[in-house]
Formats: sequence, structure tokens, C-alpha cells
Amino acid sequence: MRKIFLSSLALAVGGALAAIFAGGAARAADQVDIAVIAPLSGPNASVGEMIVNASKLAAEDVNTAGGIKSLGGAKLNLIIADATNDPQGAITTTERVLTQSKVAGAFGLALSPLTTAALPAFVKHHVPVITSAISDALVTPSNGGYLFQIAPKGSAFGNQQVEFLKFLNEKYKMGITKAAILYVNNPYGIATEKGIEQLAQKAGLDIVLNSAYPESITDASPLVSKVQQSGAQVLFPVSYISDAGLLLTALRSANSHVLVIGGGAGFIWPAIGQSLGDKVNGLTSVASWNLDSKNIKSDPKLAAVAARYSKTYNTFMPEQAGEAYAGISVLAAAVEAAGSADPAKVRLALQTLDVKSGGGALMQPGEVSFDANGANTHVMPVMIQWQNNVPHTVFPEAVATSAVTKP
Amino acid sequence: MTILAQAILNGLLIGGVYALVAMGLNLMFGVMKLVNFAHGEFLMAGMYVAVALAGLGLPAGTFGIYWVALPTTFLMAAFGLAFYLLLLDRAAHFGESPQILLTIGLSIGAQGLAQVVRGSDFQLVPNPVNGAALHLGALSLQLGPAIAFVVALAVTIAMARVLRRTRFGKSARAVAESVETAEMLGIDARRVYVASTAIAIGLVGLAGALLIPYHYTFPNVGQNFVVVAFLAIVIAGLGNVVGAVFGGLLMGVMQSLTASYLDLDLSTAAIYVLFLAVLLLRPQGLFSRGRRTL
Amino acid sequence: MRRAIAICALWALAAFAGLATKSDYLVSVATATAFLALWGQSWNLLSGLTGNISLGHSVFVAVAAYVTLLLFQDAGLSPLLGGVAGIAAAVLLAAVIGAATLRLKGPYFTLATLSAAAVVLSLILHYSELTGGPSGIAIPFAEDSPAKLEFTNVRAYFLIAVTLLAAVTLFLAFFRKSRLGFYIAAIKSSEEAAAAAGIHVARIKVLTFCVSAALTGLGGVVYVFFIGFADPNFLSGLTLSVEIALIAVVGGTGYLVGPIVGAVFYETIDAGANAFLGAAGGWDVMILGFSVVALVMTEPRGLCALAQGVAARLARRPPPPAGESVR
Repeated sequence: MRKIFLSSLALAVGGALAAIFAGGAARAADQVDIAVIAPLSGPNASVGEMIVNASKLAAEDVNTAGGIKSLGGAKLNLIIADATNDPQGAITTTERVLTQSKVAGAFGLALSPLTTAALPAFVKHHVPVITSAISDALVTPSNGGYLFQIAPKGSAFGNQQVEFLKFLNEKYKMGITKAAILYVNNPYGIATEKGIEQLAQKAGLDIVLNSAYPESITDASPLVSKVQQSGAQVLFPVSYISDAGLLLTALRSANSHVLVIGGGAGFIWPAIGQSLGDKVNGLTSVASWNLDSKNIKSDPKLAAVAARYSKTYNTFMPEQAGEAYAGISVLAAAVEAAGSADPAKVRLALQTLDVKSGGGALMQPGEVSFDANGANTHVMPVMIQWQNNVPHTVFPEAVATSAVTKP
Repeated sequence: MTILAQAILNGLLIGGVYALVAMGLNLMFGVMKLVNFAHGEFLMAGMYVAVALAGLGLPAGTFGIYWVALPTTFLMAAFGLAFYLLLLDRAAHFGESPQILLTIGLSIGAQGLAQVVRGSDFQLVPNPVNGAALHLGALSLQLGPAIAFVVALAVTIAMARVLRRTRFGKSARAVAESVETAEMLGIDARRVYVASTAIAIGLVGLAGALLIPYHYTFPNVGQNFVVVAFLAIVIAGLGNVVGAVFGGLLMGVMQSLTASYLDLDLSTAAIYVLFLAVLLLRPQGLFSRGRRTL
Repeated sequence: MRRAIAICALWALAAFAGLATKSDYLVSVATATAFLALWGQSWNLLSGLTGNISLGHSVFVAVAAYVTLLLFQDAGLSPLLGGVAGIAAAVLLAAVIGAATLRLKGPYFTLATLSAAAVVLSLILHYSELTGGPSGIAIPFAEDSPAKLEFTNVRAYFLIAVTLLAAVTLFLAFFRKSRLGFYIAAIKSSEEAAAAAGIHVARIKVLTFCVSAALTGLGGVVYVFFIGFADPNFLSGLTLSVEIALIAVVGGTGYLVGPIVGAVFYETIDAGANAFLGAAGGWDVMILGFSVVALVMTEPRGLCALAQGVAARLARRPPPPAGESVR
């Protein structure tokens, strides 16, 4: 028993080392490597899965359309890696992928802490990375010009939510003046909360409750009690999946009639629709991307992407997937424009690129370009409403395709 | 007044699930002196089993989903049996650090296994209990947690009787007191260990089945419950099975009161502080009189 | 003395191997391994020697790192000086936690340390104006500067990490032979007997806890500059605490090199599984966890004991001489 264990251990270690040393050897000349580094294990694995699924579709589409034409039809090749769920893991994984493979660029990381931790490795290896993390702090000069944020900034989410409330107030004469903000105490929650608070005050809303709550709560009824005590007429919750589910359940149990304008993530992912069934319809939320915004619905090619995603993976295309598809397409466009798989040239191309067609146009409002700090200049968050168990884009009018029903 | 009553009720209801998790944990500790760091993953496994069973179909009626409770309990008890025979039978003699190592390794591995087998999705079978409520005047109770609470109380009473009256209970208490003495009295300690593990894992499986109507199932879900259960058993008194229930309820109430009156954000910190205070002032636990009893 | 020479030789070998390795990736994994081993050694000083198992050791990493980093960021104090304050803060915290909890035994102590770490984490998250809250603190990289513990080349961190590791290991080798080490051994075998012999059990235990916290904090100070980002949920989280304890027990608590062996074993499987199976989702975590289970079922006393057992068995049964047929 011991011998078997020891010898198998030795074999495993030896094999691993040999493979690591041998890695990064040959790469076909007619192939462009793109790294997809996302959390594929731990509590955020479902986010990583969406990213990988969509990235595969995007690469497939680029390749069937003839690959990178300026490189003689070179095919995209995805190098998928698990960023794990902690900064150390994200650093090590990034370091490994960038050391072993000569990638033209990278997409992923998805969460602000992982992105922040891994960024220095990208800078060191001179490889540009497109992230779907939303923290405002990522797109500042200190990112060295290697980070490109395809998603809207966290603060913009809050703005859009408050604008949407103003729109509802006018349209339905709801007369809502008292607002409550509940946000999960992590970088995602904090980034979004700041935006809501600032704009809500400007918009003359009275914020009667503004509180963080811990990640991994097991019961949301104290949250609901607080909302009820505060007398709020509208609730802006920023939650992940599990807490979003608990919160909506507790709200319904308490017969609460507070208007919920969700803060993305947990309120728009397929899981919430599957678990609530028909009861999800009417729920509104902000989203960094949605599958039927005007830029997508008006372009049959893009609409076909969302349709193919749902056929392949049995759920509608969620926001993280949409951003990943667009991100990989933008990277492909940058390689195309640079006429080279050299990451330094791809980075320069990303800085000057203005993508108006192809997969990159999947991002609202159908155009992607990055400013000097790597922020996506055109993008804006959208408001969705669940109708027929799928999120529909209902606001702002520039990208809306469905009319909002009174929530 | 209503606020206070509602906060206490909310706390008691969520405490019911903590109680079921804590009870099994304390049974294993009491009998085997083993802290099972993988207990949360058994809860997770119970939830996946229950979700899979519920996926087979739900009978009509509000409470249809609860048909999975008994099968899940028995399947998980069988799982506990396997856990004992495959691992604990040998590990029982390992000493504290290797046992911690074993159960932590199992906990990490089981989370990976769950993702490999069932994916990383958040799963919740749509059912009428989710979002339903009981209304008592100005108070409202979530139906799912309320049912879990009632079942937890019933199970506590049953467990208390089992431990007092049955042969297993008497043997278990003797083993908990002293293995050597028990064996001298002709009690087969190993059989007590096997049965206790099966019961403990069965109970945590039941907790899983009671959770799935209103709580998502995902590979890391156990972590959200098990730490609170750990604190609950120490507050109650390690090894005190019935006390663990009160420990669980107390944890729930404490969390809820902090969230309602202090700060939502500090509701986790509060239970740790309470825990440390109890530990320092009354290390034998709140509900034990100086010595361990099951 | 022979031990000291062996440790120095191993240090020189590791340092040379690190400098000679071309791959930044391997060096960065090795650096992470060295830090983990360093923390495992510090943990072993308390838990291995006294039998009080701590599952909250990451709190000393976090406190030392945060104090150093905040002094650096807000007061411009070099981490070489700020680190001293950081370590002092870790020691102070250990004295408080230790005085309150070290009289507790077995799982009581374990869960008390776990809770203390959780309380500190909640406070770091709550007082976000001071600590940056859940978003943590990213250390902006300006230029290579030893006084700011900033290096472009990861090998610099590797050298620091293995040097600290070697120093701590040397320290432990002498510590065990020292009077304090002798007292601790007496306490571990029987607290009552030790107390009867006139040893101040409580005081010695708290002192040991403080030394352990200081060494853990020492690692934390450099580590946070190595990863360039203080993430509270990671630095003060249960996962890191568990990893620290795990590798020490995996290697074998009774051995001087136990935590080092454990860290190498754990990180190799972790990095290997992540590299080859990470894309599959979940497989890497599963293999990591079940390897630990397999090891503990094979040899509960850890890898060092396993190696000793195998060596003893090989010594008893020498391989057949060449030429003779093997049946």
C-alpha cells in the first residue's frame, strides 16, 4: 500500500515536472493563442464556466469565418486555465500560462480581486488582458496600459438604476422617493453601491437605508425586516446568486410590495429564473450586457450567436457569456488589425481599435473602443426585465427592444 | 415590539437548520471525540441527493417536495455507514491532528467532486414552499424555515428519547463517558461508532432535504452552515447532543438580533464574539453541567 | 551542529536552483511554497510542539501585512521598518488571543483560534476607510527598490523567502534544544507534571504562541509585497489558515523538515492539478483534497514518517545482488 502510494506519487510528480518543463514548446505557425483565465473551481466556478463556454463559441465563429485574415487565415486557439478563487492562485495560473505559451492576448479573471492580483504578471510579460470585472479602480493609469475593461464601470450601474427609477416614476406616476440600498460586502457590491448612492442623492431620492451584508448569508429575513422598517419604496439590492435567491424568497414571504431594482449578477443569471419559475417575471435589474439589446436584435448574425449559445448550453446567454464572446472577438479584431500575434502589437491595436462590426458589436451599444485607461468608452449598462422567463432589455431607449411592464 | 418578536422568530427559524447540522456533529464528537470538518460537505451531499430525488417528480400539493426528506435521510445514513467503514474505522485511532487532516482533506475533495459530478450551477427546484409564508398577526414566518424548525424540534425530542431509553442510547452514553469502562461492561464500542456516524450523517442529510425548498444547492454550500454549527456545539457544550439544538437556535437568534439592531454587516462577527465570550467564561458550554453528557 | 550544516547546505541548494531556473512560473510557485513552508514551521512551533492546533494562523499573516502596508502607504514608512511594527502587532494580538484561549484544550482551542481570526476579518472588512475593506489594497509598483521590498525579478522574493525559511528552520532546530524548548516538550507530555516541576505552563504557552505569531507575521510582511495585493478574504481567511495547518500535518508535526516536505507535496499537487486539469473545472480541487485523504489513511503521521518507514523497510530487505534472477 505504502509502496504503491509512494511510487505513484513519484511518478505523478516526475510527470508533472517533465510536462511543465517540456511545455510551451511547439506552436503551429498558423495559429494564434489566446488565454482564457477564469475561476473554474471554488464558489465562483459558475462564472468561469459561462466565460469558457462563450469563449469557445467566439473562437469557433472566428475560425469558421476564415480565421485571422491578415495572418493568412491563422486559427484562434484558446488556452483555458483555472484562476482558482484566490489572488495567489490567479497569479500563479497567469504566470504559468504567460510563461509557457506565447499568447497574443488574454480574456477573463471576471472578479476584481483576481484581476488586481494577476495584472502585474500581464504587465511584466507585456500581454494585454480584457477583463469583465467592473471595479472602477481597475481602469486607472496604474494599470500600466495592459488592462482593458469591456464591461461598464461599477459606478455606471448605479447611475443606470437610478435613471431607470426616474423613468418608471414618470411613466407610472409611482411617486417613489424613499430608497433602500443593500449590497453584498465584496468589491462588486461596493463598486455598485457607490454609484447608486451618489446618483440617488442627486436625483432627490431619500436614502432611508444603506447597508452592507456579509457574503455567504444563510437567511435574508433580517435584511427584509430592515427594509420594511425603513419604509423604503424601492430597494436596490446588489447580490450574488445564493443571497439574491434568499432575498427574493424572503421578500415574497413577507408580502413586501417594495419595488426591487436588482444590481445585476444574481438577479439576471439563469439560475434565478430556473428556481423561481413564472414568479421571476416582472423583476427588473441592471445588467452589464443583455442578449436582446437593440444592437443584437437588429443584426441577424449577432442574434444567431445568442440563439446558438442557448442551443448549445441549454440556458439563455447570460451577461458574463456575452462579455466573453465580445471580448474574444475584440481580441481577434485586434490581432487582425495588428497583423501580428505579438502581444505588444496587439496591445497597441487594442488602444486604437474601434470595433463596430463582428462579434465585438455584441457589446452595447454595438461599438467597442478603449480610452487611455482601458475603459470601454461606448459601453453602458442596460436595464432588463424578466418577461417569459428571459431577461429583456427595457431601458435605456437607445438599446431597449421591449416595453417595460409595470413591475 | 413587533420588530423584536420578528427578529427572534427569524433567528429561531434559521436556527432550526443549524440545530440539525450541529446535532450530528456533536453526536460524533461526543462518542468518538472527532471533530468532523467535512460535516458541511455531508450537508451539501444531502442537498444534492435531495435535489436529484426532487428532480424525479413532485407530488401535487404545497408540501409535495418534502417526500424527499425520508429517502434522503436514509440514503445519507447509508453514506455515513460507508464513511465510517471506509475511513473512520481506521482513523478512530489516529489522534487529533491526523483526524482534522483527514476530514479537511475530505471536505476539500468533496467540493471538487460535487463540481465534477453535478457542475457548478446553483440549483433550486421550483416549488410552492419557496416564498410562501405563515402570518401570525403582524408577524410573518417563511414557510420553508418554519417547517425545518418544527422538524428539528421533533427530531430533538426523538433523539433525547433514543439516548435516554434505547439500548443504543445507553451504550452511546457509556462510550461517550469512557470507552474503556463501556467495553468492560461488554458494550461493543465499534458498533456504537458505526451507528452514531450513520445517525449523524442521516441527520445532516435531513437538514439538506429541509433546505432545498428555499436554499440554492451548490458545491460550496456546506461552508456557509458548518462554521456556525461548530460554534453552536461549543456554546452548547461539546458532546451534548440535545444542547447542540439550543446552541443552533441561539446562533440563529444572535445573528438575527445583531442584523436587526446593530449592523447587518456585523451579524457574522457577533456570533464569533458571543462564542469567544462563552468559551472564556463557561468553557464547558452553556447547557452542560461541568461534564460531558450526550 | 550537523543539522545546522545540513540546513545551510539545503538553503544554498535551493537558492542556486531558484537562480538557475529559467521559468518565472516555477520560481513563483517555489516562492509561494517557501512562504507556506515558513508559515507551516511557525505553526508547528506552537501546534506541533504543544499539541494546541490553531486554525486561525492566517490572522497573523494578515495583521502583520496590513500594519506594514498601511504604514508604507499612509506614512511612507519603509516596509523594512514598518515590518517590525507589523510583527509587533501580530505578537500583541497573539498575546491577547493566547492569554485568553491557551488554557482551552483540544477542539476548544482550535475553534477559538478560528473564531478570533474570523472576528479580525470582519473588523478589517467593516472598517473600510482604514483598511480598504473587501476591495483590499493593491500595491502600486513604482521601481525596483529593496527598501520598499519591490522587485521586478521574482527570484528576489524567492531568495528572501528561502532565506527566511532557512533561518526559521535553524531557529527551530536550536529552539528545541533550548530551555524553552525543553519546557514545551515537558508541557506536551504532561501539563500536570510540568506544572508540578515548577514550569509556568500558561506563561510558556503564551510565549510560544507569541514567537509563533512573530515568525508567521515575518512571512506575511514579505509575502504581501510578493503578491502585490492585500486581499483580506484571502490573507485573513479560513482557507489560508487551513492550508498552513494542513501542510504541517501532511509533512509530519514531529519532524524539523515536516512543514517543508508538506508544503512541497501540497503545492506540487496543487500546481500540477491546476496546470493539467484546471480547465476541466473541479478536478484539480478534488484531486488535491483526496490526495490528502489518501496520505492520511496511508500514514497518519505524515510524509516524513512514511519516508522513514519505507527507508527502514528497504534497509531490512536489501535489493538482490545483480546477476541473480529475481523471482
